[in-house]
Amino acid sequence: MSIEFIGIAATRAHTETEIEKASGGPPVNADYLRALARAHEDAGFDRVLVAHSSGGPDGSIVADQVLTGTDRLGVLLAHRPGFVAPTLAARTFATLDAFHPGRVALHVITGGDDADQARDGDITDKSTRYRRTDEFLDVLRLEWESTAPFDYDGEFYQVRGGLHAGTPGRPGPGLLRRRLRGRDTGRGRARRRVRVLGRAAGRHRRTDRRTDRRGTRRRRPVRPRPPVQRQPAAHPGRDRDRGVAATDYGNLIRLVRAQALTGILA
Amino acid sequence: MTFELLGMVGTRDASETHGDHYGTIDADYLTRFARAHETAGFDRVLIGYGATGADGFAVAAHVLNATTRLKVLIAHRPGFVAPTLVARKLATLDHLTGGGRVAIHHISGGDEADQKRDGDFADHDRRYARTAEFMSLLRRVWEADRPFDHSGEFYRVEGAFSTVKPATPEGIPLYFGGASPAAIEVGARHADVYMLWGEPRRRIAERIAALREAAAAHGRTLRFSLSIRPIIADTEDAAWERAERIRALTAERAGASHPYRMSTSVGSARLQQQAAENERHDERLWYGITALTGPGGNSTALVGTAEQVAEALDGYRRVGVDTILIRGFDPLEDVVDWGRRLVPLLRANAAALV
Repeated sequence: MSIEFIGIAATRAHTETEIEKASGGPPVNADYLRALARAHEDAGFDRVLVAHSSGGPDGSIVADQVLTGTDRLGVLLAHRPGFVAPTLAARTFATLDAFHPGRVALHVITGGDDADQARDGDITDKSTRYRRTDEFLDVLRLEWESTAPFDYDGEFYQVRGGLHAGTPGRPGPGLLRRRLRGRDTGRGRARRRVRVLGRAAGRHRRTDRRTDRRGTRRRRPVRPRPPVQRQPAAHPGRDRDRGVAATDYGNLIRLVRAQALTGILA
Repeated sequence: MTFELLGMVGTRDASETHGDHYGTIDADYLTRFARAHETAGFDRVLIGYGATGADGFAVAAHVLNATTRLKVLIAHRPGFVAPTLVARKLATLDHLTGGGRVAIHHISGGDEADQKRDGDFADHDRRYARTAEFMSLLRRVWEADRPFDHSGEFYRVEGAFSTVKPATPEGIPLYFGGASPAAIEVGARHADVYMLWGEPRRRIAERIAALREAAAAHGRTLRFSLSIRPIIADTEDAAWERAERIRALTAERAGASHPYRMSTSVGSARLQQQAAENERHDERLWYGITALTGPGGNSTALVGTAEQVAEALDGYRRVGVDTILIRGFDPLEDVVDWGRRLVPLLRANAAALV
């Protein structure tokens, strides 16, 4: 698998060392965003991460501007389940993918900061959020891949007759699924949870046939696992002036790619 | 207030007569369609919402990127995205597309099957109550200069705050539609622009009067928009012949492309009632397609020459309509045609009316 370089998008100059410079400017500077995206593309980055916070600009809109302002740069769009219906989120990502084919990947963040979650109205605890993320991803995939209307009955989401008419049966944009951590949440082993399909007509009831404590699988998965992208090899670009830094990283990226090609770093 | 002319875009060449082409997202078509509106002199285009189709925010961004001054009106249904997040989505889009080109339309949902596709099982009046809370939260996010808490029937937030606000002092207008008593109360309190489907002039005048009264009770004033489907030809006879061709083509396709709808929409029921009373109201308001396709959206037509249709639209403006939304049965071709012969008449008449 080839190496992938991921930088980061921002709508204004604002880093640990540049807060003063940013304090007077608008929170969203279209020119800065485009310049930063182009700098990443010119330096040879494959993607930029578009982050999510409950107080700042919306990532899906920022991602669209990055994609529109560049020719081949991809985005890694951070998304926190819980604030958008999963069927609609699936259509948002699929629509972006239709306008910018193959350039959208999704980074699912379950949310680690209770206060930031509450700003957007999520008052749940962490283990509840992880259960919700699991369901969210279930519905996301059904909306992308189901060729017939589907029903879904979960703890958090219920759907009747869900169907995304756009390219049904096609997998959605690439998915980078965050590693589910935390023994106390019980989600470590739940990663291998298997959803059992109900009726052939497309009714999906959440029945947890999970791996037991000794790690023995009770049921065989009936659906393919999501394609999981490799973690990025490096996360540069998070530095002083990001536009300049992204350009400076061009030499580093070329060097690492050359090394990878010759097998020194594969 | 100045006259505003709205069109409507979609991601595919679809209409009652062109077929649905369900689910297609044709970026090139959308670009051409958006630019045709800009060239024809439209101010803004509506982007619809459906629980099986493209996402309106992404479509809006594409339209705004493909044009230079055209504005958008993004239809959405409260209940599927957190209001604080919608507020930030709109403000972000507003900033990244030059400022002042974004508006949002609130549809509380008249088709229950489509609501359930996205996971909403609330009934009609609860949906409107949720829309009210949603709209008040949108404004609060945009106006708040410090973090706030909110605990309502549908939404609860703690420390909500957005660093990104609307890009211009005019803000992001809130459009709204609905004909039920529940809808009127919500629209009167929260809407900037109240959208109406095409009904006879007298009934539109009655609705506007009632809405103005309801809004005045809250110390507010509303703007009004009328949505209608012009069918234009060189002569009036030719226009009616074209209407009949549209009816025949729609009849061919109606079975396949208009699935059964669990409609709870009072606005749709009004149009069906009027269609049952008479196929033609006023001089040229035609319900042929409304009757054929059953409860749905904007389906009544104005049939005639460009001059006759412009005159009919002025009739609505004289009873209080500020904004006209027109959508064709030959969507892209009509926009080009209207740009040549209908839009200039509307602009000239608007200048004369002011």
